[in-house]
Amino acid sequence: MVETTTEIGMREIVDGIMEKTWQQLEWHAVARARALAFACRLDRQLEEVSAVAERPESRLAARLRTELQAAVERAMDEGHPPGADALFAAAEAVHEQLAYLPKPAMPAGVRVFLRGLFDRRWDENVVVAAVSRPRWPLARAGRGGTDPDRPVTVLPRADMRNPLMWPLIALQGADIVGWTDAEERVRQALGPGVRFAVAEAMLSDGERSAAARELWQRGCEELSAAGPLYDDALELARSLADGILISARRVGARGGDNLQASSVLGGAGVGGASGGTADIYRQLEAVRDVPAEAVEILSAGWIHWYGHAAPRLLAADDWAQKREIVDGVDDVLCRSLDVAAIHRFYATEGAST
Amino acid sequence: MILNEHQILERMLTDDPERRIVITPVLDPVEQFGPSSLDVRLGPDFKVVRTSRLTHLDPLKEPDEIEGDVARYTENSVIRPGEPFVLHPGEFALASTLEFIRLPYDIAARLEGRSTWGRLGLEIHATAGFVDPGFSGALTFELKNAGQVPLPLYAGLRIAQLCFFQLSDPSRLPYQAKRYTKYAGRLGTAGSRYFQDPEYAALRAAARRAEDAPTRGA
Repeated sequence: MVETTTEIGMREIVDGIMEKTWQQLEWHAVARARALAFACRLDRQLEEVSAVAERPESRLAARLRTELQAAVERAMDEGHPPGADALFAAAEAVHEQLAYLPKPAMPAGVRVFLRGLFDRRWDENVVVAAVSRPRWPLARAGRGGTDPDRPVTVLPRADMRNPLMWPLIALQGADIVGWTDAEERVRQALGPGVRFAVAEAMLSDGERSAAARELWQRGCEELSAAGPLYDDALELARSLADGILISARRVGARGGDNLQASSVLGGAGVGGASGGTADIYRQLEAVRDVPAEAVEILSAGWIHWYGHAAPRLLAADDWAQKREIVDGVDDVLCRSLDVAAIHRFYATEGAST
Repeated sequence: MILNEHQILERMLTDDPERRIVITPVLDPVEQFGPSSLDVRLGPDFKVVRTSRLTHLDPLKEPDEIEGDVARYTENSVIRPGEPFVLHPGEFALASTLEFIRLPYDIAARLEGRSTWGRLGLEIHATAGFVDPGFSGALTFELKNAGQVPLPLYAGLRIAQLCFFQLSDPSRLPYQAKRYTKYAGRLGTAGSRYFQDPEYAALRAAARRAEDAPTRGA
């Protein structure tokens, strides 16, 4: 069983514990973390609905939150450790009742994410479903094309602000735009994390089978062997563990450049102002950033999830702490994708390099 | 002491996490650095108060109720790259920096507008331009169009600048460690959480006591 990172200091994580932890996380822990996180995401959805709904709906949402939290607590008490099945069952029963409540708008970042992938070959329509096991048109995805009159994809509502599961939308979108080898092309664009997303989706689809586990293991192997992508993602994952946005990579970090202040500033150091204008412009280049690609952000997100956040979630005592962990991951990944898209826009249009 | 561009750069590059200023992303350091400042950019998310159904904000309601009211009366808007958010004359909106910013315990900062935008009438903060040591997250802009023409604002525009001050000793009460911080670690635009100030708890308690007290002479 993997050691939880709650007792491990941040310094040690930065020194490489995360790398070991994410690769050693066991499948049953992956499944439990997914189920618990799904419940947390559902709770967030209910909280957001409760804040903007009319009063009767708001009361219903508040009641469902209470029921959800109690059901998860019961499921946690039943098993030692609790199985993913019991946790999913608790969440799914409440998730379907989202149908009675207003639907929040999809995050704007989803469209930007899809546009980057499909370059406007699809109108990027996404329907978020009030069921945790959307059956249509998921069942058709990758199996001969989606009905062109129904060019939408579905995602469980609880996952709408969870970028780690957005590759599921991409897989369905690839089917809509008629890509051949859709899965392979999406995986090329978004990396081995696509396998994690599909494996975790299979968990909530009642397919808690050897197939899901095998898919997840293949994802682990492919990510570990991904060369420069893995190195960059691991570096970004360390930033995530430190609570820092990962929308960009510092360009000076490429090619083994030494970014230490003393070398860049040539000994000018604090208070120094040696050299002319050309010198300082050259020195400033050391902090130029390039936008991170979606594949890097998502790969870093998965490493962070399996290496840091999921173990903490499983070890967390109270509901507020669990929510904080899950919300933190989703917020920083959503924001990173949004900011990276803006950065990329200016880089592409020539306002920055 | 206000840091010059060399000192800002040195703080951004240092390996020592206790001295490091984190600002990410830096799209173009040549454009963004000034002699004693660093330009920061507009983020993609905005909050605008819908006033049509709002009579007033009542800080003496219970915090959960106020939070619900604020959510109902606030319109959240996220713009995509290349898409404008139009701020009309006299309008007020909350936004945030594109950048994630983290200050060490011995550095404070001040958020200021840029003259380019000031000349068009754009105010970037109403009163809260000071950034405490230890702050971590996105900074909030309190945008107001004090000019006479609508201003289309795009995410990524350099609308403000940060200047940095070094403390003679590191703070022992940095922002993250303060007991009553309300905005620590926020990555996007956050609305006011004025109702969480402990003074309001006292005011609510006093108001409840006054309501419950029997009317004199009744």
